[in-house]
Amino acid sequence: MPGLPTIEHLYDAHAPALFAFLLNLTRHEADTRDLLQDLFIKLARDPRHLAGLRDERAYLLRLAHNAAIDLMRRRTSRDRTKDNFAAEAATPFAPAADPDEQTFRRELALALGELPADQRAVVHLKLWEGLTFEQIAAILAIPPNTAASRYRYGLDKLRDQLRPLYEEIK
Amino acid sequence: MNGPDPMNEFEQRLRRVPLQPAPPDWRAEILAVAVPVRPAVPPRPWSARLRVQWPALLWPAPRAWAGLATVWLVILVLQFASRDPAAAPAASLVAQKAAPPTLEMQAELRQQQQLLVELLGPRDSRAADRPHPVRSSTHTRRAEIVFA
Repeated sequence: MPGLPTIEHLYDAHAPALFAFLLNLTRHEADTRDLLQDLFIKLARDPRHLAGLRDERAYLLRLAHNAAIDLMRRRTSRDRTKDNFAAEAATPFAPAADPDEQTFRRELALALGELPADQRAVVHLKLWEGLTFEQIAAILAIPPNTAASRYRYGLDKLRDQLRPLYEEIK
Repeated sequence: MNGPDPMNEFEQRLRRVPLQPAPPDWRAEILAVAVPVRPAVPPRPWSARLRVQWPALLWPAPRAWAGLATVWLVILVLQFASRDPAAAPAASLVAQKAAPPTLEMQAELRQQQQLLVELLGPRDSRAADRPHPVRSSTHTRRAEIVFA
């Protein structure tokens, strides 16, 4: 279809962001890979999904979020237990050479993992995608006020958990 | 006394934490399976398909096909050569088949019918002998009225 980006272009442009978002939601690398692959298969088979879109990234993040939520709902209760979560959790952050920074990133990943998925999604999109609450609301299909309040709740929890560490390495 | 907003500072600190990049080998793996589907080709007419498939069909063993065609031709020629020109045409054969049965056949048919009547006879005759009460009484009444 003329005018539509190739699947390679889409991957290069959006896969890093989608990967980080999915990994932050699922905390499971294999699940993230499956979801990312399914998403790109869907796009490759029907590129009309992207026809006439103003914001490809927002659309792909919405697809990724929906797929991740579906997957988390399908998961067994065994997978949802905190023990398994802690043991298997994949960190969404790059490793750091500095030990203090590495500790901070690890604690941040754990604190994020403690947040409910809806708050985690908003925090991720706000902090690491730099989106406005209106954009986040459109992606997650929630009102902007809800997005803002989820962000505040999530950020408060992160701050409470990370305050000692944050004060130390600030 | 306007110091930096602690929430903003904290947010900025979090924002600076870099995200993990996607494993580089995923790109090739995912793109290998995320293959665009080719648009469906409209079906070609049978003559065009035949024109395309005919050479492909004959190509593997052209001599065998040629031999088979020769054998068919020989059979056809022999068939025509062995025909009796005086023989009745096909239409008259059909007419012969459709002709009325012979006397022997008619006699045999009659025998079979009789046998059938004998086999079914007692039941049918009993049913036939038994007068229909309503029908007969009505019929009688009608006859009385007419003659009266």
